[in-house]
Amino acid sequence: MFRTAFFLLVCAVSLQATAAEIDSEALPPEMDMSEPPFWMSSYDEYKDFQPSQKEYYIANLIPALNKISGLESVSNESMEEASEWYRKWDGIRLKLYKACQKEELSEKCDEVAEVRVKALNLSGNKKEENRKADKESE
Amino acid sequence: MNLEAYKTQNKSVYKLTACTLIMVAAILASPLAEAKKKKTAKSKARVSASRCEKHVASSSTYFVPHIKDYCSPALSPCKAFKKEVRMQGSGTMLDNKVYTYQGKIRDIGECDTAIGAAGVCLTPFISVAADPKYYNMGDIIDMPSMKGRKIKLPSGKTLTHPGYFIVQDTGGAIKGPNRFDFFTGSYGAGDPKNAFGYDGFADLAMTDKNKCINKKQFRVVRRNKPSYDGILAQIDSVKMGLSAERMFASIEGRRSSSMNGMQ
Repeated sequence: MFRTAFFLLVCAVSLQATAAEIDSEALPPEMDMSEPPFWMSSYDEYKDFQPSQKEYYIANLIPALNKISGLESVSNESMEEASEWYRKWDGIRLKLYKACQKEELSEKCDEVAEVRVKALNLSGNKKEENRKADKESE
Repeated sequence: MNLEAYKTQNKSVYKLTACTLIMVAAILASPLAEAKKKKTAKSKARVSASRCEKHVASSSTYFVPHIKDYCSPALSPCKAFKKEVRMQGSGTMLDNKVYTYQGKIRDIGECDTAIGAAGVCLTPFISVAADPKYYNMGDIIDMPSMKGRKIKLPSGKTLTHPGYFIVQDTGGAIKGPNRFDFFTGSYGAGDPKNAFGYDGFADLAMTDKNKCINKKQFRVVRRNKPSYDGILAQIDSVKMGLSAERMFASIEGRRSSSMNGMQ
């Protein structure tokens, strides 16, 4: 009797722990990564980048991510792996989005977001008006 | 000193201390207030880039000049083409290359006109440049007033517009959630053939970013939404129709040229 009760207790505790883990990986209901602010490119967006954009993005993304707690360990290798496997990419992205919910990280998160904007603008339209605006914003 | 005088003196000391504290607080808060003011002004400036209401597009158009419209023979960039390229940023050459305003030549692979910021081929009258702060590349802009409109393309074919645009490009001056720059292939805004140009749809005025009319109302379909794939399929079927037409035209062309050769 006692053994059964103990077993059931252990089961309940482990189930609760798993549920908590799943919960921590799930998105909070108010957070939709397809809506702005866009802290990081989605895997689909990144996949379509030109080689020069990919190179720029990864090179500048890693140091920006490393400034965010929980993402200090993101390295060239892990990003290389992530760029080949969407689940790994989504994992990093999810961690970033969750971290960026904290007000105190807003400046660092803005830095990460800026890398995406700059990577996109590398191949963006460069008509005179756009070039002028680019220059003014520098 | 009597009690009354003592109370009055104390009161004055309290008042003075309170005033000093308020002043210190104000001095300390002023840089913060200044920073906040600057931030607000900055965000206001960003929003003021578009005068239209939230769901009305503030539109303009852009194009990539084609060498064949400027140079004869169209084998190397002539003066007129180079001048236009300096204005528009790049120009399409023969054999799938673009000539940039910096004088560089880049390969555009299978694309007919140019590659946008999203890294994919731009499609005239379908691709649109938007602010990446508000849009993911690939997001769809649903503009119902466009649906079914006939548009003459630079290729000579006619596009029956699906009523949707795809965000596939960016531009330094394209700022704000409802500011869009519509790609018109090799048609400049002044080209009478350009349906989005000065002589285009009279009721839409796509070239005027300050013309905020109800017909430019839109909604956004994000890339992961359930309806996204269906809409994309509709856009693709329109594009496929065009490429099928082009394919048949090229077969026809080859057939007639070989028949001419036989004669």
